[in-house]
Amino acid sequence: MIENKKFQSSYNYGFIDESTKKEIRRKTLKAVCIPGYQVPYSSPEMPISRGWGTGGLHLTLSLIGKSDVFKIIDQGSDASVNACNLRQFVKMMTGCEVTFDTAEATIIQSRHRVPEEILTDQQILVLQVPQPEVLRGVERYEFRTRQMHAEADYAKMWVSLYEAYVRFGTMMRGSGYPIKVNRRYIATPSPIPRWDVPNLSMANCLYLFGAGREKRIHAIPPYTRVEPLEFEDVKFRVEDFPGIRCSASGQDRAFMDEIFDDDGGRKHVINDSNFMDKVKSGPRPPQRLFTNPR
Amino acid sequence: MVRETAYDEVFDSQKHYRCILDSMARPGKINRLEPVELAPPPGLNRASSLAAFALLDGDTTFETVQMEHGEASYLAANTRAVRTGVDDAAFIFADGNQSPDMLEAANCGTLTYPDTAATLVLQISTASPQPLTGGLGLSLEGPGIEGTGSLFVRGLNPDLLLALQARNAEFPLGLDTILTFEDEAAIPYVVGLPRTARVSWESC
Repeated sequence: MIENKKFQSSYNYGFIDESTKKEIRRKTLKAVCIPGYQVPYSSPEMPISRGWGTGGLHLTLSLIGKSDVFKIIDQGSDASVNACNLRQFVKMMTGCEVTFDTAEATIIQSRHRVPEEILTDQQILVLQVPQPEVLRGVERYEFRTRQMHAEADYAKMWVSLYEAYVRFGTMMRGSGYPIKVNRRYIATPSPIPRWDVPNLSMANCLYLFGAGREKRIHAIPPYTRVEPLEFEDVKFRVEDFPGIRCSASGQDRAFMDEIFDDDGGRKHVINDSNFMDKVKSGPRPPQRLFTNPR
Repeated sequence: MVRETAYDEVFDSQKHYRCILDSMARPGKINRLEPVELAPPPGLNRASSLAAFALLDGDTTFETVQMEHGEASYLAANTRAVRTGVDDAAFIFADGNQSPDMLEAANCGTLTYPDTAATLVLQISTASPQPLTGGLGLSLEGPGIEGTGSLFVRGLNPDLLLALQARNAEFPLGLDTILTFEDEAAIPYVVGLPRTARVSWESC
């Protein structure tokens, strides 16, 4: 029996052992120094499967301390099963405060959404990334995509956007729209809707992206230029919600979920659950809205 | 050989890492590290020691440049990191008054793996957001900086900045720098200067 209280818990603080945390921290620093470049890292075993948010969890647990306030959302919702389980795990392993309030949190882990509310310079947004390699769709081999990034040879990516436009009349992808970070690397913003992509550019907060299964970390520092790929005559557009209002709060100007009723009818609700709670009960939190080009 | 016992490997390193991360994300911002009672050798300031304790372990390599008072063995004993030459080191500890020769050998990474580049921990006398007489006024641009940032430093050789600028000219290759100093009350501070920061300077 070890007498010292510090060593009595069966896990290290934050679950991951200190030397692995250090490794993740060193890699995160390099990711911040080279915006948009994917840094390979160890991706240690976690009590959830790789591909279920381990990359985000690694980043969160390497960042978090006792004074942090942690928020986690899954597809905009604080209350989905995945978010609840990971929140409970992080709370159990670190004893930190947890919250639903976007403004209160210091570390926000997210899957598939950037919160609607403007994040401050005191906050870090950690995004879970399933496929960090934006070029994987046009090139299957890692050593070739690495070469392409090294030489900033993104011709294949541009051709694929052009082909999508020619075939489907639009180059729009549903989510994970390719971005150019700091005018150098093409990266994925993780599968967030196009609605969220403009919020990555010149933001106040630090964005960190963790892909556990693919063992990569990349980052977008604050005040960094992030441009969605677009052509001179075919511009990037965010989703339109013409004339649509949230059926729960009556508000518009937010990313909407479409919900189908049993009787075949449909309605919309604001996807960001904390944002919806706030607009329902009080003044609208500050938001950055993108205006589509005409 | 001093073995630091007051340093908490779990919570101190977490707090200091967050400050260093914030520094790298916001170049030119002066971040205060929470002080820990340390007794580093004379050539090493407390901020450099704390940065080393937060980031180095047995898997990393380091080198101290022109430090003659057991600084390298102090870092090795307290972090278990391996000392190598400047060309192989992942972390290079040096003084800001030095000549820029050491930067020539430092590893800037490769185009396919720019993250393998070295991190430079440069010790300066002091830094401030207000002008310092007899110091350098730096103006900074790049990711992490809103518009143009400014920083005033003392104890930093402008030739070193010139050499650093040359090594960082071919992004994504380059060296990431952490400037460290402590004030009169021995409070440690760090300032980040990643390879993306475009620095120009004039003496004031």
